[in-house]
Amino acid sequence: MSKLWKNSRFVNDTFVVVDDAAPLPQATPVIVSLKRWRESRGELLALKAPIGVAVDATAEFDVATDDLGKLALIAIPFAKFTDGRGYSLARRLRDTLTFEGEVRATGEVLIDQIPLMLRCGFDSFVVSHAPTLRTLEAGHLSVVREVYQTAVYGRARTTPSFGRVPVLEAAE
Amino acid sequence: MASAFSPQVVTANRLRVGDVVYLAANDDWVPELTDASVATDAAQLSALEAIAAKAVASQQVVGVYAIDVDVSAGSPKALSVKERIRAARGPTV
Amino acid sequence: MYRYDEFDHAFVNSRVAQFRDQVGRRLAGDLTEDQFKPLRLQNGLYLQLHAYMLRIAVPYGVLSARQMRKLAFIARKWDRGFGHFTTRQNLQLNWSKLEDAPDMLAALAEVEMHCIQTSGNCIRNTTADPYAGVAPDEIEDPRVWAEVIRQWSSIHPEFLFLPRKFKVAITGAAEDRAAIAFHDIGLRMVKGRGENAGKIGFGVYVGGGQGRTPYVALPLNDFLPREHLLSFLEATMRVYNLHGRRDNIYKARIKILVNALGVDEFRRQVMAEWSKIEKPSIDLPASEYQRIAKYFAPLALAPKPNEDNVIAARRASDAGFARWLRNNVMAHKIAGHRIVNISLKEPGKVPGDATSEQMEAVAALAEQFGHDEIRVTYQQNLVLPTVALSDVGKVYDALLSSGLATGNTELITDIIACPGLDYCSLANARAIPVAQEIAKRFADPAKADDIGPLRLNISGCINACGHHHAGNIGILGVDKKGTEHYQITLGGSPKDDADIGSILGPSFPAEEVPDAIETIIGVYTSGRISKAESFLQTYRRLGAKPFKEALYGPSKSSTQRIVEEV
Repeated sequence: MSKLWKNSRFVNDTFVVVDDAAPLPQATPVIVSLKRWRESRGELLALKAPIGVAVDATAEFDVATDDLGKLALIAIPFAKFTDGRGYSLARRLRDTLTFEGEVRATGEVLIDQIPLMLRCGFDSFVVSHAPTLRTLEAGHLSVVREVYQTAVYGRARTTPSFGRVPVLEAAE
Repeated sequence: MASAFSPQVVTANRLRVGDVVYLAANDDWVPELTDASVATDAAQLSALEAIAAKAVASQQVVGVYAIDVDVSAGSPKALSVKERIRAARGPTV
Repeated sequence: MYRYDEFDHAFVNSRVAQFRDQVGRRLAGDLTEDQFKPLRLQNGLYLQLHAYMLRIAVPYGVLSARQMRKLAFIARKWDRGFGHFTTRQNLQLNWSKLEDAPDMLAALAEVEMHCIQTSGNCIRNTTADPYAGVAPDEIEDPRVWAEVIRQWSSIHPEFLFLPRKFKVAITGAAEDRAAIAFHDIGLRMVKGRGENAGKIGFGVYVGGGQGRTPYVALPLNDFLPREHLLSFLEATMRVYNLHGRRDNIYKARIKILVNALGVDEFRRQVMAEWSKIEKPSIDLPASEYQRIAKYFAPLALAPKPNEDNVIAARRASDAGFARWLRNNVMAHKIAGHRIVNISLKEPGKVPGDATSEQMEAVAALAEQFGHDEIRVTYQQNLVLPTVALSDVGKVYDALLSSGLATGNTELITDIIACPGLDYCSLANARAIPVAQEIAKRFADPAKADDIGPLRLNISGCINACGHHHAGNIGILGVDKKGTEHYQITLGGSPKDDADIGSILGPSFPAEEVPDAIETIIGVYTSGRISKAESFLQTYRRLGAKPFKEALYGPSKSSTQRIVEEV
């Protein structure tokens, strides 16, 4: 049983994940694959509902044609929590592509990595690991608040100064 | 049919302190290899491994694996150099 | 040296609290071992052959006396009263307990130390020239930038789950004493030419490393303006993090990616990433550079005469002192001062090991004669970087009484050895007893002196923690049908002429290794043009053939024997 954690609390997930072959629901926020977004952009935009795209960890966005500005959400998977590609993908989205929508972590999302994900620009988390759910419920995030790097935190960029950035406070 | 199974013992480290231990009778973990339970067929090994899995799940031990032993002298003796050094609970130098 | 401010203190204390919480959750069953392992590794805690091992970071090899005393205290209180200095300039304690680790980290935090990222698939402790700040051949003190990298890499959220570990080495001197060619990234401070004339920057090398696929690092950037170091590192790390292989642990290091793509294509990708990075948000502000650099201001020392009558007289009358002076005491950039190398390689002892008492003795010397500074070298020795020439005799006497006055720096008995199968769960063979037997064989100082500069390195497995690939003579322990055997390589070098040694022939059982080394040395001493020609120079001039023939005989080619062995 997974739950969506966002802005330091559990919330209802308004998005529906739609497989590539399945028909698109009307007036419902959907998450589709990058492939489907690229192939069926017109049809998706005509739905007049927020659109999310689920990528895989090897995603290379095409800045010229991917129209990321029209997306409400990009979901990045952690097939294993030790596969750290998602952190770099998120930073590219936030820093380089200045993506302002929701960046969602899916897959093996564990309590000890959530602070790192937050600092790389993720702002929502699909959590199914029971101790992680329990710890988040209790509001107990074990975290080193002092950070040496400038790094994005959700949509709020920190001031560009090396170190001495109490980043996590900023968005809680 | 004669089995090609070589005698084995299940070893691990205590989670909290790291000491090398061996699985012995009564689900006990003991420091001396010579006191360990020896599996002489696959079924016995599976039984030891099942006990060990419970000890892992209850945070008693970590890093469980089975090692080959020589039982020709009665009590088990490690076969590999590595396991002999490990069973001696310290370096050779 | 760098001193923590309130922020740095708060950072390490938070880290200790975080790890204490993680250990608590592990013991309570909220974390499985698979989930916990990367967390403990990123705090330096391994599960080794006999017990947990704690690897303490010695940032770029720099220690104060107070820190060294704390290491001695920690080793005594929570371990067995000794520690092992490593080829990463760190200190390992072999008998730690998981339940004690948070307290050990808290004790380290009291003296501005930690174990952060001394293991795991992340950016490890940056290593540096042990003579940084005091070497006469230095362009700029690399410690400032090593500290910058330490801070930038500490809990860098993007780079804690890389495909594999990542090691950076830095030197600011003309001569490479940090083996930068054998690191994932090697940094060499250089003076700019042409349009960069008058500036100081970095030559950046990438993809060096040992292990089962050794490579010498390739040039990535000839001149990186120093103020852009962090954004350039960030771009390089991002390319590696996204594209390094994750399907095979043996092919996951950046060296494999660089060599698969070719360094030119790798460079193109890094440059493309770098061009997109908003550099001012990553690079170190000048004010922060100034703040850190102040801690590394040169000691205000008055130059003194470079001759000392007392020292000269003793050198003439005391052969042991003269040898130690010749081999272990180096020129300092300020006249009348010296760099003193403290050997942890007394023949017969464990290379790199020091007892708590020895650590305290070195700390006392640093306080009394060494301006409170100690360095750890990747050759597993210690250094007092600044000692007045007139104090050198007193330092020698004190070292003598602590068993630390062996005068063998960079000689055949100054052996690098990993812990090997005596401690390490990855090893295939023991390294320490082999090192001890070889050192005993060449323990006669006159013999070692006659052989001259020689880097002999021993690893207990192909992971090459003992740097065998980079040894002029390298020894690799292998498991041959259940027995420990040792393969010998010749011709490696960790220096500016970096090279990977070549396997000479079939492996030897442990007891035959000292004889084999003696045979190899015999070929060198009888084949050298003069005593001025080093072992490596002779090997490069003669090639492997005479060494092979001496070891294996001329009748059979060694390739045949290798085929037979396989």
